[in-house]
Amino acid sequence: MSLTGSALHTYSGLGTALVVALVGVGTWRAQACSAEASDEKKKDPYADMEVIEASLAMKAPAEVVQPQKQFRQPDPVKPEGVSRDADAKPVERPKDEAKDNIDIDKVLNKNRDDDDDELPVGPATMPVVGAFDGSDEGWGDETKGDPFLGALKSDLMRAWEFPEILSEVGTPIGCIHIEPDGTIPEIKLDVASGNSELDDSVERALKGLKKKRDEDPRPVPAYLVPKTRKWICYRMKV
Amino acid sequence: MLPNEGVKARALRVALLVVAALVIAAPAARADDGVIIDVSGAKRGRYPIAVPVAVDSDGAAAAEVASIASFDLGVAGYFKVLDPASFLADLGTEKLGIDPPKWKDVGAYGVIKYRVVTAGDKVELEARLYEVSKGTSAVLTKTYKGTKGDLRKLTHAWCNEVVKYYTGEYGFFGSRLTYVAKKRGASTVMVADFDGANPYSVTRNTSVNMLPAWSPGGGSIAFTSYMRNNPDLYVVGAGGGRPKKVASYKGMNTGASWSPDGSKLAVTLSKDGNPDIYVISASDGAILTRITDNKAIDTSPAWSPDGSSIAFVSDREGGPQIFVAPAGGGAAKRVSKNGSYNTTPSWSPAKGARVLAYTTRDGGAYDIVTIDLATGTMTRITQSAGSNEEPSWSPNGRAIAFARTGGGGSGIYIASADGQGTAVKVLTGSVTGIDWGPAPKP
Repeated sequence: MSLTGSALHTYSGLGTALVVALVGVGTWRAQACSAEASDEKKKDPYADMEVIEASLAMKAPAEVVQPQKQFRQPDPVKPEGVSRDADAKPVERPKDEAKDNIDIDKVLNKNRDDDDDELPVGPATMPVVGAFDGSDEGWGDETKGDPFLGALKSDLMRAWEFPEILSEVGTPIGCIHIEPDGTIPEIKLDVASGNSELDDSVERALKGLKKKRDEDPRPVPAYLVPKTRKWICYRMKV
Repeated sequence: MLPNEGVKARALRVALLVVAALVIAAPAARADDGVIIDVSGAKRGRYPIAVPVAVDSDGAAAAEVASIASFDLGVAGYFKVLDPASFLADLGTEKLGIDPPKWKDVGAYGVIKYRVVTAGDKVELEARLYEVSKGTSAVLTKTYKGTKGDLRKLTHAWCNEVVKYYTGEYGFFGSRLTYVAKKRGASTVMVADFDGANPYSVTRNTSVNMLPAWSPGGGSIAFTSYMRNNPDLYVVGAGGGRPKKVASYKGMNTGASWSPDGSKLAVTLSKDGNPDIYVISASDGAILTRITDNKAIDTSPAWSPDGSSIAFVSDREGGPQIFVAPAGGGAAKRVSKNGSYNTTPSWSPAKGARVLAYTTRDGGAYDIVTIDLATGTMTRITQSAGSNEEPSWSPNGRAIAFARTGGGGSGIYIASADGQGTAVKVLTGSVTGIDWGPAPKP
C-alpha cells in the first residue's frame, strides 16, 4: 500500500496531536501528585524513611581482639594509723608478749627433722690456710705440701703399676737421690716387703721416675737443696 | 759369785744395753738420712705377660701355639699380652729359660716359654711359666702329649693352668659356644669352640631353629624349632643326632633355660594365648610351676646359677624390661632401670655374684650392659661399635660373648666382663641366640 502526500500530512498531524495530548496529560498528573506529596511532607518530613530500632542502627561491629582479662577495680585502701580526726589518738595494738619470750631453740627443736643432724653441713673446723698441715701451699690431695715434692710424687705414682691379680701384701720403701739440677743418679729398694712382685713393681716405678726426670729434669728449689742432698724415700702401699 | 763372774755379767749387761740402744736408734737414723713420704694407690692393671714364639721347635706348630696362647690369655680378662716386636731377649740363647732383666726392661711380669716336638702325627708340648721377679726358675711346668690335631686343645689346657696358677681357678679356654647361624632362609643350631674354631651343625633340618641353650653339664642343647610347624621345644645331644621333643604346647614353646641341676627348664609358653613364664620338666615337658600370670608379654627366662631366681623380660610396665622372680614362683621385681628397651638377660656364673648382662637400646643401636643386683652398679660392655645383642657369660664370669651386626662385621664377639679393653671377634657371620657352654673338664 502506498500513501499520497495529503494522507501523509493527515497522519502526521494526528500523530503530533496524540503525542502532545499524552505529554500534556502526564505533566498535569505529575504536578498534581507533587502537590499532594508536598502537602504530606509538610506534615512528616521522615514519613518515607524506613523505621528501624535506633540501637541497632547505631551499633558498630565489634573489633576482633585477644581475650582480655576482666579487671576489677581494686578495693579502696583504707589508710591505717591515720585518723581523719586530728584529735583522735592512734590505735594501740595489743602487745604480743609471747613473741618477746620465744625460746628459739625450743622452736627449732620442735620443727627439726632428726635426719638434719646427719646432713653434712661443712667441716667442723675450717682449716687454717697454709698452716693446718704444716704446708704453705694447700690441703687438697693434689696440692698439699711442697709443690716440687708433690710433682715428684705424682711422677712416681704415674710410673707405678701393680697387676690386679697379684697379692698386695707388704709395704716396701723405695728411695731416690736427686741432684740440684733435677736428675736422679741413684735409686734403690731400701726396704723389701718380701713380696717379690710388689718389690719388683716398686723398682720399676723408681726406674720410670728416674727415666722421666733424667730426660726432663726440673731443678730442685734452693730451699729444698739441703734436704734433697740426702735420700728421698717413699713408703709405698698398694 | 766369783769376781770374774761379776765382771762377765756386767759386760753382758753393757753389751745388751748397747744392742738395745742400736735397735732403738736405727729408725731414727733412717729418718735422719732424708725425707720419708707415704704413698699409696698403685695403678691396678692387667698382668703384662710375654708369649714369644719358641725357636727350637717345629716352626708351624710353634707359631700356632703362640697364636692360640696369646689369644687365650688376651681374652681371659687378667692379662695384657705384650707385643713380640718389643722383646729384647735373645730367644735363641734363652731357649726354654729366661734372662729376667731383658724381660723386665720390656715391662713383662710373666713369660711363657715352650717347646713343641712333632714326630709323625704325634706332638709333645712342654711349657713353662716364669715370673720375672722370681728369677730364672720356672714357677709352672707342664708337658702335654697328643696328636697334631690336638695341639689347639693342648694349648688351651696349658693356658687354663696358667690362669689357675694366678687365680686359683681354671680359665674358660676349651669351652664351647652354641648359636644359630642364619643361611639361605634356614636357621641352624651350631656349636663352635669359644674362639670360633671347629664349628659344626647340631640340627640337620631346613626349618627355623632358634634359642639354643646348653645343659649344665654340656652334654645336651635345648632349642626351639618350627620343624613341625609349631615352635616346639626339643633337646638334642651336643654332638648332634635326633632331637627329642620336650614340649609342644599350643603356641610358643621357646627360650629354654636349664635349672642348675639340669632337671627343669624355664620356658615361655603361650598355650593360653598370652606368653608367660613356666617351669617344666626337662624330661617330659610337664608343667611344674607357673612363674608369671598376667596380660603382659613375659619371655626370655634365665635361671640364676644358684637356682633361686629366674630373670625374664616383660612389657608389663610399658616397654620391655628385665624382671626377676623367685624360681618357686612369687612376685617379680623389675631390675633394669635404664632406658625403655632392655632384653635378653643372662646371669653371671661367677661364684657369689648376682650380676645380669642384658641388651639395652641406646639411641638407634643396641648395646650390652651388666648390672650388679646387690649394688645396682651398671657396667657398659659395648659402646659405639655396631649393634650388640644377646650376651652370654663365660663359665668363670670373666668374659661375655655377644652377637654384633655392623661395627667391624657381623659375628660373635668376646669382651671382658669388667668393661675394659676391646671386644674380639671370634666368629664371622649372621648369628643369633648365643649361649656359652660350661667350662671344660681339666
